[in-house]
Amino acid sequence: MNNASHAQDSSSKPSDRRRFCKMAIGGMAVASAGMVGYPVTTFLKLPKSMSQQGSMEVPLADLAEGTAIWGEHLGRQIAVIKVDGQVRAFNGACPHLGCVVQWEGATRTFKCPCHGAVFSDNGKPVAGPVNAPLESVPFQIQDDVLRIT
Amino acid sequence: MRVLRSIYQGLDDRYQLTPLIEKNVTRKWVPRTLGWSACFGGLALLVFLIQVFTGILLLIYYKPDPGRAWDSVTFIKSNVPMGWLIQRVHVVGANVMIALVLMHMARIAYFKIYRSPRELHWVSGVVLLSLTVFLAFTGYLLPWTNLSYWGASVGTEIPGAIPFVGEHVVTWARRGPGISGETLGFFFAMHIWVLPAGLVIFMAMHFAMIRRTGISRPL
Repeated sequence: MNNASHAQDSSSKPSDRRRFCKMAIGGMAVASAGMVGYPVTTFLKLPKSMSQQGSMEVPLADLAEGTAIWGEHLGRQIAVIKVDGQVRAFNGACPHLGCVVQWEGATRTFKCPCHGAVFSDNGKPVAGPVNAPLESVPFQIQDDVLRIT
Repeated sequence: MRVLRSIYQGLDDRYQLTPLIEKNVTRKWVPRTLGWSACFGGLALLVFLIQVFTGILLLIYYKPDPGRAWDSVTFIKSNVPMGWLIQRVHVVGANVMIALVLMHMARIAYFKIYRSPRELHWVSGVVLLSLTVFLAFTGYLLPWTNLSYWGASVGTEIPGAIPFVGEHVVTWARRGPGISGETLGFFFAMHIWVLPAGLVIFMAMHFAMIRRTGISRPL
């Protein structure tokens, strides 16, 4: 509708109509924003299987003598090792500055790649810039499966 | 509302936004005989923007690795809240986008809008159609299902019919003799970066040309 005919049309209160149109457009805009916003914000939520860190499980049959199996539990990198038939679990974070240590099967030691700290197979520090041991992690063994909860 | 208005007022005082908006949106002159069929091009752009947006969302979980691609798409569809919706919108959007581009082109062809001075509009439009089809084709492989594997297998075989260079084109497009993890990585890079970037560049040219020549008036 052009402006000339709009001005002549005095009986239908153009200001009312204009306000109605504005509200209708605004309402549709809000509804559309909700229709897009709700699924998108929901999508960005943490999926259930990722937010529940749950428990770490290691079948003992997979753990050979002198090797390590790494896993994640509550944001920590956990090393499960088997030395002389004995199973131990350590938090892999080096107590020096938090780098994740590596298991070296040949020497039976944990070595930190950042500043060269060395830990024995029971977590005790043996060399490098660190006095504290690796944090040992409690676990249960049930039906030949090691669980950290 | 008052806050928004004063923010707009402040920006308007500094950058004179109102005349810009009036010229391009609220008081823009278009031929009065323009019908709803003139919307197809703009709708194709809208669907492209939806594809970019949903594509970025899917990228949060998708893993372009033959061992994990299918699992990650299944994870999106069944574990991520509303993931099924975002994934479906992206899939359906691809089909809708191709349909809209074809409807747009059909209108341009039917009303002979491609004639001088708008020949290059048509040429850039054909490039845009090709890029859209390639986007859909590369995206089809990404879920790494049987269907997408064979789809990519048959699709990449088509240039094999080109005399002399055909076989080389097939091997190049597959990154090897057959569809493999290398193909997946290549298609992924094409799908999320190269083709959309090309699409944006050609869209910018397409729109700039339309701005210069104006919208075609019906005969």
